[in-house]
Amino acid sequence: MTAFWTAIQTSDLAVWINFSRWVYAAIATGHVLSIAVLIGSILILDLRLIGFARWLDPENLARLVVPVASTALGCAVVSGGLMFVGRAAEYAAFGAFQVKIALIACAVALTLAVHRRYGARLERADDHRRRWIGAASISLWLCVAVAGRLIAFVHG
Amino acid sequence: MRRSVWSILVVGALMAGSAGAALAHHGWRWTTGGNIELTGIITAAQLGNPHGVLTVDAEGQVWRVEVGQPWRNARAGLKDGDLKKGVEVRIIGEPSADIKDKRVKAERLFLGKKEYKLYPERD
Repeated sequence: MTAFWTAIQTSDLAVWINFSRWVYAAIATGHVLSIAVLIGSILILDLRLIGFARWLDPENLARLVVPVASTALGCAVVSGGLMFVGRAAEYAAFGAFQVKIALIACAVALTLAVHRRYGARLERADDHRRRWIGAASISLWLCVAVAGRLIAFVHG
Repeated sequence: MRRSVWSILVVGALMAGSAGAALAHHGWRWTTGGNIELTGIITAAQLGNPHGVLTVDAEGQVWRVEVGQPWRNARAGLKDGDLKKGVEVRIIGEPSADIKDKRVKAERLFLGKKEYKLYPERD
């Protein structure tokens, strides 16, 4: 496995990312913006699911938030993937990075399972279920962000 | 219900805060503020974004030397292959405030007699 990551890390793409100034800056900025949109939009929907702002129709809200958050997740995965490529072997060995990837897998699995079971706009979930879904979702995504940020501070 | 939301937000904020309190390699917050000089042989060089790091053996003591990103090293006049395994280097920079942490952030360095200023605006 280490050989595989090392091969990625020494690829032309990795070298280009690693030694360019503005390409790397653009990728890192794209990653931060994607995360801001992802967690910001999910927070709004999850607050409504938990029980805040009852005057807001949750299904209409989900109609806006789900595509926005999905797009942001896609951008975060691409930008994050590019940063990973630059130092693949190193990051793959980081505990905080492994925890972060595991948390993302949990959050995405939860989201897919919940939409599969209760509908694209959670229209089949009752208030009690929505509450739990909202609380679990926002907790997981906040933990993803914390684990991600810890990569720089634990493994510096 | 409101209480559980607040507890989630507070826990999140606390975790984020404790992350900020840890030693950061960005910036100079984690360093002592004064310079030291270190001479040794590079035993490993990991250059590139987001940080360049050298492992330097200074008479048996192993130091982690943070150098610039590629653009900063290039601006200082360093060329590809200048910082590589086996090269003797003299570093002037700020060490970690934690004395057990053998880590220094280079402000300038010497290869032979030639000086390379990574941070020309710093002393």
